[in-house]
Amino acid sequence: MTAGGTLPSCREVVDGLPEWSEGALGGGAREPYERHLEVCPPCGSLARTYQAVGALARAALDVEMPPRARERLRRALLRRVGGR
Amino acid sequence: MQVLSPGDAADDDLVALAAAGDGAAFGELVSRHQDRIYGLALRLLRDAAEAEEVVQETFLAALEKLASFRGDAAFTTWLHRVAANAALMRLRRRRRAPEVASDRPMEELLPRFDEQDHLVARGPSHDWSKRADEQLADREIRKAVERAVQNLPEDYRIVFLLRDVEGLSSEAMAELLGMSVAAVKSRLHRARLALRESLSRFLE
Repeated sequence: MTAGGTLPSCREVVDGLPEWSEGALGGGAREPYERHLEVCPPCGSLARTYQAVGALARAALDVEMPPRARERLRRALLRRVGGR
Repeated sequence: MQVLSPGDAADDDLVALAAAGDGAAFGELVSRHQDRIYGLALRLLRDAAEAEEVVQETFLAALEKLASFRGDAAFTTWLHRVAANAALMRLRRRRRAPEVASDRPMEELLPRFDEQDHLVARGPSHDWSKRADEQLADREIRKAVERAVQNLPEDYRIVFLLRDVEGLSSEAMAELLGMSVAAVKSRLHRARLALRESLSRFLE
């Protein structure tokens, strides 16, 4: 996909994803960057899924400590406190 | 004077009470943070028994250090860094054992460009970002995310987990991993790109 004129290239867009996804693209860089995302569907889709990966992993990898492990932790801490 | 139960108090108040010998306050701090610390250790180590040991080591160390914490953020940040460091030390010890070479090469999962620096699409440009939440209700999708993270080469998996899942700063990670901040950021970028490509293939 050709982004055209003064817009950044696809490679520059991909390289700039960390800054863009953190809202850290400064100066006049943000507008041409986001214009590229609008006119280039592969980059637009790559950028949005890049941004979504962290939240998806946080939700999917969420775990709770098993009750027995909690109980063993509680006992280990009580032993330490009692041993002081 | 208003008396708060430990469950209503802020972390920094609980830390102050616990440092003065209030066991119930320390118990409340443990209840609040144990799942996150256990999760951090389990995701890094992928071994429930080792993760449990890391949680115990972390809270036992916290018990010793209570008097030195100043504020809620200091305690939470410290807990995460101690747990991450304990888990990383275990991972390093494991590396001395022969590794199973099952990692898919990263290059295959990174974007490709033509001579004009245009992105070469590997397939239809499928945007699953807006449907990510509803897809998580699907057990298969959760498994796919777990697998995609586990299949990252270990150096990339560690950086992704510590930053994007556990929320450590790039600076804290650089210190823990003995790398420059720039190297941490570069590795994180490649890990995210590889992960989103793995998930795109699954979700297409």
